[in-house]
Parts: sequence; structure tokens; C-alpha cells
Amino acid sequence: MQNASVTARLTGIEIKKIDSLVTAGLYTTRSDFLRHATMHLLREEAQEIPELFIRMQEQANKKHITKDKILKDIRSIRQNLYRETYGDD
Amino acid sequence: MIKLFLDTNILLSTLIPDRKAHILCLSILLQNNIQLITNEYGIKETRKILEEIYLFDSEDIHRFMEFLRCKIEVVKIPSKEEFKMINSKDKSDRPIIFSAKKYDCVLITDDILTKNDAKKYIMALGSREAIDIFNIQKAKDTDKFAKRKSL
Repeated sequence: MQNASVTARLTGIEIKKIDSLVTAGLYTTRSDFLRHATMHLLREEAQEIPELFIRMQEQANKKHITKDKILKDIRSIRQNLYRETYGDD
Repeated sequence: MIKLFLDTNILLSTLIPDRKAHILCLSILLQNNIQLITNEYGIKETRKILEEIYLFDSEDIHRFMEFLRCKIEVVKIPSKEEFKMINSKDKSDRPIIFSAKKYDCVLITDDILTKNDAKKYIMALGSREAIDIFNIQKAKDTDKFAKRKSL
């Protein structure tokens, strides 16, 4: 299949890190790095992520976790976290 | 450019067995056209709930958090000084509302209280509204999951 180019916006820090990997000889070009990164993420998402969601949904089902329960539990955790982070007032 | 700030309930709803709610929130998370943001406060809440309340498997929690960090830009927790101008019925919502405002985002939350308070400062939408307004394509259940659910 023919390659196509895409435009991606990266931060200066990210580009510097990529360039240092290219300079070190781990990748031939920036494009080479991005191709490897894409392949890695696609492989991970294609195989592991659906399995992860299936597993976690099965656990959530067993624990009877519903949308309403999530909203209620977040409210309580949020209030505790607020106190821990910012104090009581 | 539109950016969506995801409240914790959107992140966690991707895991619930209720297919309708799950699909809406997962679709927002999986789309690649609109930048997604949350803050460390939301990430901490997500981790705490999965670890301390729902007692999920720690390796799964780790992977889920990694997945979120791949998909969402996580910004710093604001200082108290920064969000003092935000008035909300529950003061613990202020770091979320403030961060969404600071980063010029539309807040996506299915919590009515948070949404109504946020609307005083920014645009705030529920997951269903976000799907419709931003024309986000709905994710599909994997066949495997659909099959398991039918068992």
C-alpha cells in the first residue's frame, strides 16, 4: 500500500526528544520515529485496549456499578480530595 | 479550535456495563478530531475511585490510566487563588470548572450540578449533547463483548 503523509502538531520539547533519538541513531528520521510510534500504539490499541475494556466492564457488572453510582461516588471522592488538596474552608 | 474538557464521570462511564452510557463516553474518548483535556484532579479522582471504592485489579487500573494519558492532555491542578472567582454550589467542583475555563474548553460532564454551575462561565454539555453537537461518530461494541453480554 502506498504511503501518505499527514501533518501533526508537536510541542518543541517533543520534537527535541525525537531529534535526539534520531541523532543517537535509533531512528533514521523524524518520520521513521513517528511510524514506529504509530505502529506501536496501533498494535497496543488493536489488541490490548478492547480486552482491557471488556475485562473492566465485566468487573463493573459484577460490582453493580451504574452511572448514578459513579456520579454519587465521584461527588464524595471529589469533596474529600478538595479538602486534602486545598484545606477545609 | 474546539477543545473538550472531560469531567471524571465521563472517564469512568467508559467502563460501565450500561451500553448506552458506555458507548457515548467511549465515543468521545476514542474520536481523534477534537483535542481532549482533563486535569490532575480528575485523574486523581478516577484512580482513587477505581482503587479505593470499586477495587479494580491494579494492573487493569494502571493500563486504563495509561490509556487515558495517551488520549487526553492532562493539565495541572489550579491553585486555590486561581479558582477563587468561581462560584459553585459544591465548592469541590471549582478546580474542574476553572481548568475548563482556563484552557478555553467546552466542559463535558453528565453531572447536572456541575454542568449548571459551569454554564455560568463556559459552555458545558452532557455526553449525549456533545455527541450530537460535535457530530462525533459513535463507537461500536466489539463483537466479543456483545457476545459475552448475551451469555
